[in-house]
Amino acid sequence: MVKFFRHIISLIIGYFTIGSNLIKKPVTVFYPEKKKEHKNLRGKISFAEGECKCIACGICKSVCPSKGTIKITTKEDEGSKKVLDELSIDLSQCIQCGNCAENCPTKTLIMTNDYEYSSTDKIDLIIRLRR
Amino acid sequence: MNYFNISYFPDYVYIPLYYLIGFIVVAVLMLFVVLFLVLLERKLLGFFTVRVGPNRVGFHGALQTVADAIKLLFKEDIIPLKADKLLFTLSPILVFAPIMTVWAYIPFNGFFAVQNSVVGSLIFLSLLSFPILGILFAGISSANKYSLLGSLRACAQTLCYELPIFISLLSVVILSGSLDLNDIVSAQSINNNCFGWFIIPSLLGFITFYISSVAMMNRVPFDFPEAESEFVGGYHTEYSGMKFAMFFLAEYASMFILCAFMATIFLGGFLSPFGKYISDFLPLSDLIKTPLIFIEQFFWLILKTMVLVVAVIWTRATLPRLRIDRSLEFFWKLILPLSILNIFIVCLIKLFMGAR
Repeated sequence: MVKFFRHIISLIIGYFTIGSNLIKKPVTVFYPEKKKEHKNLRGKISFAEGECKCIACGICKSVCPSKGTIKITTKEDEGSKKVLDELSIDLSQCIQCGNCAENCPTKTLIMTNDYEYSSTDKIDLIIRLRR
Repeated sequence: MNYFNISYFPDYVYIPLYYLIGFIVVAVLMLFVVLFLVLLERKLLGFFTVRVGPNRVGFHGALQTVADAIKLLFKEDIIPLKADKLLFTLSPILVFAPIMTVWAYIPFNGFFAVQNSVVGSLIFLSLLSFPILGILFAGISSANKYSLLGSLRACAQTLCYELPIFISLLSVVILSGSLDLNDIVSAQSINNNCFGWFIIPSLLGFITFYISSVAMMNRVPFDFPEAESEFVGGYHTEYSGMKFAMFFLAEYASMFILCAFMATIFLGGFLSPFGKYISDFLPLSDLIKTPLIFIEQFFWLILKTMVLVVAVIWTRATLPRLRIDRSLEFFWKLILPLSILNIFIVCLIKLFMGAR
């Protein structure tokens, strides 16, 4: 008999435990509508806005662990000075380690918050910087 | 039907017309109620589990069930190769038709019940024990072991919940002295407030009736016939499209109508809990007041029903499924003796408190 009443009391406690959830705030994350902003997220790599400051030093290429991701071609300008012709990054091979952005002396390469890029064509995933 | 006798039509016109109107009212009401209940359940289950429930279609997911219904309508209707085609098609109808018929017997207000009967409550519960036939046929004809097991369990369960449910009804019949649902409701208006309701003398009966009717609705914690985690979908494993929708409709319609029945026989039906109706206090002429009172009576019945429905959903959110043998033991060894004890209590009250 005591056991029976103990069961009933535990049943009532269970009901109120579940009922108390009604006044709690839902834990649901509304993902596509509301995205979380991360401060130090290593997302898609991109180039700094404004005038191109790249000096074609090649550090980014040498620190990149994924070989063949970054390609740099150079040319000579009027004063026979070596300048950048094109800097291309293949995002399909990029592992988003952030080494290049960290070591870039002119801060041309930056990491953005965009972590969900995709494409139906591989060519779209190659981003280019031209002088 | 007597209310319609004043019409100028001859008998052979107004009798079919009356039933047609009744059918349309019941069908439309039922469709809306089911659409609303499915949404209410999903939303409430979401809130009970600290989620938000459906929120994509319409305003906060308001059109979710409509979208689901349209999806079900356009689904392919598959009949398994080894299935018994006649029984397979018949069983959703056998489940659905009695539950829809039963809606006619509930007095929604003092003015309107589609069908008045001297033995209304008895017919109500008897019709509601019909769907078990449909469930059994669905299990046998599907040629599927899960379906068969589900329907066998449903039959085993029927034996154990039918007895307490009728005995609990008996306590109400003893108190009111009538099987007519209208008389049962008017017998509860004796004190002119909520203390006249039959839930007070027969509280035990209400509890046993409630638990048994949860089993009758095939809902958690007694949802053995369609235990998803044990055998795929139980008796409706093989069903798809509109046939499945009929099982689905029947489940929610029976949930609402059983709660409405409970509200009618235990919670005073369409009576106001304060004795007087709110419309009575409004400074209006009798011509407007009378229809207002009927609307208010309807509102009270729906309110009481909704309280019970929310309790059923709350139970689903709280309790896990019982084991089948434990459940049978629970009904035979606890609920049935309790409901018989309730009869004794009610008889004593009737004897010593005099005619109510």
